Amino acid sequence: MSLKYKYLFLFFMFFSGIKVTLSQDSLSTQKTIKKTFIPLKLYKQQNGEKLTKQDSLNFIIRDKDTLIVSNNYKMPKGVLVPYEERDSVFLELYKDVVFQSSKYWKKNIKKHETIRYWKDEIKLYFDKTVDKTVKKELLKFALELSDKVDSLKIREVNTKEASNYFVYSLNKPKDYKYEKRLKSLDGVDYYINWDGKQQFYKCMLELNPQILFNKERLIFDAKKDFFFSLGHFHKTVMLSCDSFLSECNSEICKLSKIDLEILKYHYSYGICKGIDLKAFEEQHEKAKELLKNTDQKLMFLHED
Amino acid sequence: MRLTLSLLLISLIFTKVTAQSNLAINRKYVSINTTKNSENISLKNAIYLENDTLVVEKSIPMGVFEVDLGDFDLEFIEHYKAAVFGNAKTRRKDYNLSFIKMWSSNIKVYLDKSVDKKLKKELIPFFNDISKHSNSLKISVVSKLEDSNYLIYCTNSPSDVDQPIIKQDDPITYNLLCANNKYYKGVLRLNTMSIYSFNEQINNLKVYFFKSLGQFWLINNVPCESMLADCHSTNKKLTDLDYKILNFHYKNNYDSDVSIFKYEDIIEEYGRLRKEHPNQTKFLID
Repeated sequence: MSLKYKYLFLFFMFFSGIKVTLSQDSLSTQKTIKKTFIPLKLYKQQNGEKLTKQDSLNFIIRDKDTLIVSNNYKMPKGVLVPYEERDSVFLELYKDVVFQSSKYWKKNIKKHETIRYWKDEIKLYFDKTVDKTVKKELLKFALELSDKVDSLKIREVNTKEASNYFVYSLNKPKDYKYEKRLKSLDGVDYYINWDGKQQFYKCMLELNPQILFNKERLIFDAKKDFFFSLGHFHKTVMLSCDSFLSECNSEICKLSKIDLEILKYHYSYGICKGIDLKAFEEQHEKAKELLKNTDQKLMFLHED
Repeated sequence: MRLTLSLLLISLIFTKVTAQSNLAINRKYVSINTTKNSENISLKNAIYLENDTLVVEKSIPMGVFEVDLGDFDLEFIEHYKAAVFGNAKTRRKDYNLSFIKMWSSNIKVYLDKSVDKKLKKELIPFFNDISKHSNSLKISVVSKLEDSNYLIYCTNSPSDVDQPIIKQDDPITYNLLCANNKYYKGVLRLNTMSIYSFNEQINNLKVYFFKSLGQFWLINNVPCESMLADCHSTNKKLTDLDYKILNFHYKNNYDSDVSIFKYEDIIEEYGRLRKEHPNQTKFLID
């Protein structure tokens, strides 16, 4: 997480905390005076080291931070969303799916995992090699997710050029393997690309009916991998085998309510994106404390 | 001072390990509205959603196995361990330790056109025999590849192409795909140019197919005609021991990895619990 984000949180805490309403005339027209408090460190970065007497008169000491009134602070363009509160059991589960946090004592700890997501619309393109039934089922599944999950947008496009999500199938030994970095021999696999903002921008989903010749299984694995590619999720031991996200789901199953709930939360703007486990935990601690002590919600600014 | 610090560190680590081992895994979440007996609902590990609450219908503590081994003798257990984990002398040193693995569903075999009719004629009754004697694992033959989860094919000429997951060098070989420790797909390939006699072909197909039901190893000191005997015979057949091993293998469902070390602990603990509770056969063992 960038420092910028942290400052923004503090800023919004106080921005929403101090509102002065004055009665200006007999018609009771109300005018709101807003004062923007930002951390001193940030103020010095933006305005230089020198402070006036007026500046120091407006200091507020909050916890261990010194806050100062800033008249020229401009909020970056974006959308403000209040913190989405969830219970601790759900958060433990979510952290395991995204960061593999419960496996600390096992071999697979992922210290550097972050919350990765599709910010842009997913534009699906199915190569001609993909079987019609498989395409129909996968597309139906994808569009249903698009409907159910806010801020996750998926649609099919007609040309490969216009797409950012390419699905192809290796039906014969000589069929072209578009993504040669895919080495798995499980029959379905995906290769996903993301940028420094932890946003996905391209994905290749490979289906291999030569390996996975059972069509029902191929469809199931395609749906499962598509679902995983929406957040680069990990399997979890916490869930029973009838869940997509479960480590033991060797049998064909439907997307469970909890799978969908995790996806919805992943795409909720009531949490910060792109951050790692440490930052995620710190933010939740801060947001919950704030909510408990002041009944105020931490706001997240998602820049355009 | 150093001793105190070490003790503190050890106790901290111990607390963390204990906490982790108590983690409830394999949680089956159901909507609170669908639970029948509302008085017995536990809210431990419940998840609160906007319009619903999901409660845990069933879960197990991490590292704990629910086991029912029934009655067994130690000689049989030695054979079973050899079949699942390999030869007693080498299995503990083996770099790639074996784990208990099994099929998660019934097997639907597709016999490819490349499989000779005479072989098919022998194989189908063989599958039926296994299904008949097996308590849980059933095997059937299907007519479409896309409906199957197990493909058997032959390479009959040098131009025949192998499946992507098959090792080309072996005259007969199989490969299985698994999720966690459960198989969901298999391929068995016979090269009829290398294995050219019919008798050798059918014996090999039967042995390799049977081995693929649990990634079994061949074992010593059992009758030579047994499917799992590490002994050449021109008359391989399904013996009582084969059925016994297969049924014992599918009697329990292990959701996490069970190595030989873990399995020996389970057997020992199971024996102790059985003595304490002679009328009970199912126990939770960690």
